[in-house]
Amino acid sequence: MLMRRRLILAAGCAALGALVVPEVGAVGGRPLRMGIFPRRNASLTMSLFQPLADFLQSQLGRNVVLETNKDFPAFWDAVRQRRYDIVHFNQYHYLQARLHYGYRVVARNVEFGSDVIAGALYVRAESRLQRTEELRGHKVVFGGDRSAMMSYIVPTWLLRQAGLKAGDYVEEFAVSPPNAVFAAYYRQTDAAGAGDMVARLPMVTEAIDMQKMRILAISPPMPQLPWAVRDDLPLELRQLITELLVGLTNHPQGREVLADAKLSALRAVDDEAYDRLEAIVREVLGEQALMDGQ
Amino acid sequence: MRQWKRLGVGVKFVVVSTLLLTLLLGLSMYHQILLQERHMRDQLVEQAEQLGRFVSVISPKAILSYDFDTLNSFVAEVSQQPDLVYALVQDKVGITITSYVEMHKPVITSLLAHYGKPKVESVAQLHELVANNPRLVTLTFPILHDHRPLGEVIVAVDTERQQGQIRHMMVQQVLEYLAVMLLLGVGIYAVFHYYVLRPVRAIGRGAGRIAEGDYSTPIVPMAEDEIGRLTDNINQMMRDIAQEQSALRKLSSAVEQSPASVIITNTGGIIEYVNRAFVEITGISAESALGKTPRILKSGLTPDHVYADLWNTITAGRVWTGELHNRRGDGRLYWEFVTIAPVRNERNVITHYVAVKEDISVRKEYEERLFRQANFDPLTGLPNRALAMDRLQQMLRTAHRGEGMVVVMFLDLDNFKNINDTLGHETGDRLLLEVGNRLASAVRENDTVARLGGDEFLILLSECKRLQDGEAVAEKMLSVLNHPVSVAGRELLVTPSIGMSLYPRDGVSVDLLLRNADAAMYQAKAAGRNTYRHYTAELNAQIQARLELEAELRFALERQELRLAYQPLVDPRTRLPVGAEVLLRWNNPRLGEVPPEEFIPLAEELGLIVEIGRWVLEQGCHRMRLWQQEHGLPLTLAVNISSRQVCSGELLGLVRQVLYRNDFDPALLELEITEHLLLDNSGEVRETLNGLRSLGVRLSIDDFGTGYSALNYLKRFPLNVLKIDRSFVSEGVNKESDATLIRSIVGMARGLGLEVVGEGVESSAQHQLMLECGVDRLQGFLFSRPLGETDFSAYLGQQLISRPQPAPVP
Repeated sequence: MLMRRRLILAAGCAALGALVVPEVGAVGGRPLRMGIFPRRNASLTMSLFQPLADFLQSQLGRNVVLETNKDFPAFWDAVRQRRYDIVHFNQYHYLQARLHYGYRVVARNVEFGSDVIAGALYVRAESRLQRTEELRGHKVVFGGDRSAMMSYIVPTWLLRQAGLKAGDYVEEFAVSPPNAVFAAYYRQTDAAGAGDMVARLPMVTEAIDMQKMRILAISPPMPQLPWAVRDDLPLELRQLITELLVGLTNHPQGREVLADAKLSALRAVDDEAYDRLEAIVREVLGEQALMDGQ
Repeated sequence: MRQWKRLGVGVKFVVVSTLLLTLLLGLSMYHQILLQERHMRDQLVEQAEQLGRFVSVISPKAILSYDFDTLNSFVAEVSQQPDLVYALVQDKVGITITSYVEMHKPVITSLLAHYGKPKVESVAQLHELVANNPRLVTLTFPILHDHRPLGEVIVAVDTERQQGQIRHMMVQQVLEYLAVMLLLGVGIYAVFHYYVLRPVRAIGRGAGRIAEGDYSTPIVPMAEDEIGRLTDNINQMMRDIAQEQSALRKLSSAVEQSPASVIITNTGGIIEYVNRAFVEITGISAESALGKTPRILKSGLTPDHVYADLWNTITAGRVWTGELHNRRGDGRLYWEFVTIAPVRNERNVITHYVAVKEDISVRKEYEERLFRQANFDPLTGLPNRALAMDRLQQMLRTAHRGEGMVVVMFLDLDNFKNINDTLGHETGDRLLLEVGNRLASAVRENDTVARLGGDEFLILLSECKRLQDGEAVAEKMLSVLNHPVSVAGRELLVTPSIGMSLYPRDGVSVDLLLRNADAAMYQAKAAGRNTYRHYTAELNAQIQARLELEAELRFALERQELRLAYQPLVDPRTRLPVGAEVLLRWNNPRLGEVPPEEFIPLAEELGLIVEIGRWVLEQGCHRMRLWQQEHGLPLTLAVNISSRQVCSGELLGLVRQVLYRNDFDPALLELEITEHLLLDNSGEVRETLNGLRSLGVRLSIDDFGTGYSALNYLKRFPLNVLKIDRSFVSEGVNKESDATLIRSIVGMARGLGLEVVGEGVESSAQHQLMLECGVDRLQGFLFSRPLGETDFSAYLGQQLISRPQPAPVP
């Protein structure tokens, strides 16, 4: 009930704000900046998440500006400057951001109906490789770079769990997790490291026949990509933002926003949920991995 | 094809023109479409190349960074290009590393349907399936990085749209061309119709008139162009044909009415025309002859080499003339003189043969008859002298070349003259005919039996190896004739005398061989007849003597070597001369006094007797007339007349002239003829003797009793005197039978009103016998030998001096 009242109130504020746009900023203070880690290119990122920004702006009654970056360094530079009020990270960068730049998770993605994700090692279905340790001496292409939580860190953790150290296999990187899977599919590598969600991405399932791929190893479920806010935002605002994000599925416009963002929903999550990930990062990348600027 | 031929020229022209235009425009259109297709294809390929190269240029980075998504987006981007069916990227080992393909593209659906596949799972499978489809143009571009191959971009372009454009263009052009062709066709037909068809149809109508024989209406020229000139030429041709047909009609009429048979055949000998004369001559209708060959006339009697020569000549293009012995339709044979000429067409090729044939059967018959008359004896059918001489000449030439021998036989029937005299010529002829047949049967086919005349035959034996061959044949001839011949109910037996000469032994010339054989034949006769003799040197001498005698005799009259002797005819009772028989004497400076029995037969044989006899008659009458006048007595003059003189046809005129010139009383002239002459019961002899008798001349039978016993001629001929042969007179005194015979003859003569003269009275006993028998006149040595003119004149004076003077002779 309280939630409904708040939403009605927010809607009313938004409508009022819409009528008096020039004053909104004045009414709500400075605009809220929303950053999205450059998982995709800027154009696509804008297409996916501008509705969300618009939705938040309408619900919060203050301007919400979606800022995109040409590349990850620019994004991370903005993070270090705490330029963003609302940020969508990947798990690894969130661990760094909460540790060094005061961001706290408020929600996590629910993709394909799941709010958890796992890192996996993919091989072709007809491959002779049956166990992770058999990847010794083989090439493994990981999606993204060493900061990719589900495409590199967790798969590498799986390799470590199987007793393979760095150098026991050839490590290469594709530009993205789907491309890592594509590389395995197209016989450019023996195995690919990527999140288990990749196998369900339309861009993947439409491009290749995933029936011809199989997962050699998969990690335990891990929390999905986090949405965090700057910890110095007012508590009410942080709560309102959290409520707006996790309540998207309850709102017609919110569902549209989710659809536009290719998300099933956003779900509330505790920050502790990412502690295990932090342990994995430390194990894979070492203690220095969570140092600022890494 | 037949329907095409029936089409009009205009339709054919339009059809052919249209076909040609269609062909030309079609080829042009095809060429243009090819160029257009090539151009469009080049454009398509160029466009695809640009895309492919672009992808190949931008792909290395994506490949190196395993950015298959981007790579796929490149492919997806270029795949949006029209006509591009699909694009894909393969790595350096050929693994397809892009997945984008628009499976729902109509071209892909169509291609999959073409291969019977509802769908394929990937662009790689699609590429494998359709890469070689001719509808597609597949281009490959290498992807290089630092000159290192990373893979390649494959682009497949659909040419269907381009083909569609070409088809559209082709339809458009076809329609345009059809419109052009329609306009052109109509235009060309209109021009063709006005300038060609119309005048050609006029020419066609004119030609139709020509075909129907109407040459009077010329074709009206419609222009002065080539067709106009053609029209003029046809009109000229029409006039020429009219003239030629007129000439041809005349010629045809001439051929049809020609008395000569005319046949026209093609080169195969098939008859295509015969004229009326052919039908009349052969009796074969034209309908029966047409379509057949002239062999329908073949009789088989014309030698094959004549036909061979005929065909060789005419097939060589030359004219053949010759004679054919053919058979008419009714089977009768006839002769034709044939001229066959080849007929050539304007290209000088022989197309027909024309034969002009003249029925020469009558001429050939005459020729044959003349030939037979000239070369064969009409009685026996045997070769005559001329042919025998020719054959002998040939035999001698052959024998000369082959060093062979030839036997020449002269055969004369013994005493045949008697048969002729007593049984008549008809019997004699039949006998000769049988003899000829028997002789011909006695020789080989190559030998010759010829009748030279009378009862003389010549036998020529060729290819003899030895003399005995001739003797064998002679023996055979003697044998075949040694059987009686039955003629007119009588059995007659004739024997031959054969003389043989042998080439080259007895001579190498025809004349010499004949002469020698003749001489041998006389030798055979001298040897008793019914035998044969070879020629000998002795015989040759005799022949030489005879030849010499002949030569001298021919000039005896001219040289005045002949003279007359007169043997007195006396009255048996008074022994006074009542006349004389004039006798011929010949005294030759070389031969001396030649006996009459030698030279008179020779003169007869040589035909000199006619001229000599004329002289004897003239001289005898002349001299006797002088003596008659001198002595005033009707002295008779008896003159021997040769049968040749009687048969010469001049005797009657001669006697008339001599009587007239010498004023000689015909009743005092006695012409003595032989029994043999009377036996020749020919009209000519009888007519002559009757003529003489009508002149008043007396006719006397000389040597009566030596001939044949057929005395009926005594009644048939106007005779006056019988002269009993001296043999009866000489024997009469010794043989009572002969005396009786003399009395019988005299009695018979009295009965017939004939006087009787006794010849050869040499003794008083004979004179006495004659007196007793009542003979009217006598002559003989008892009274006087034959005397020369002077002696006879003296004789007359001496004998008549004591005689009472008779009344003077007028």
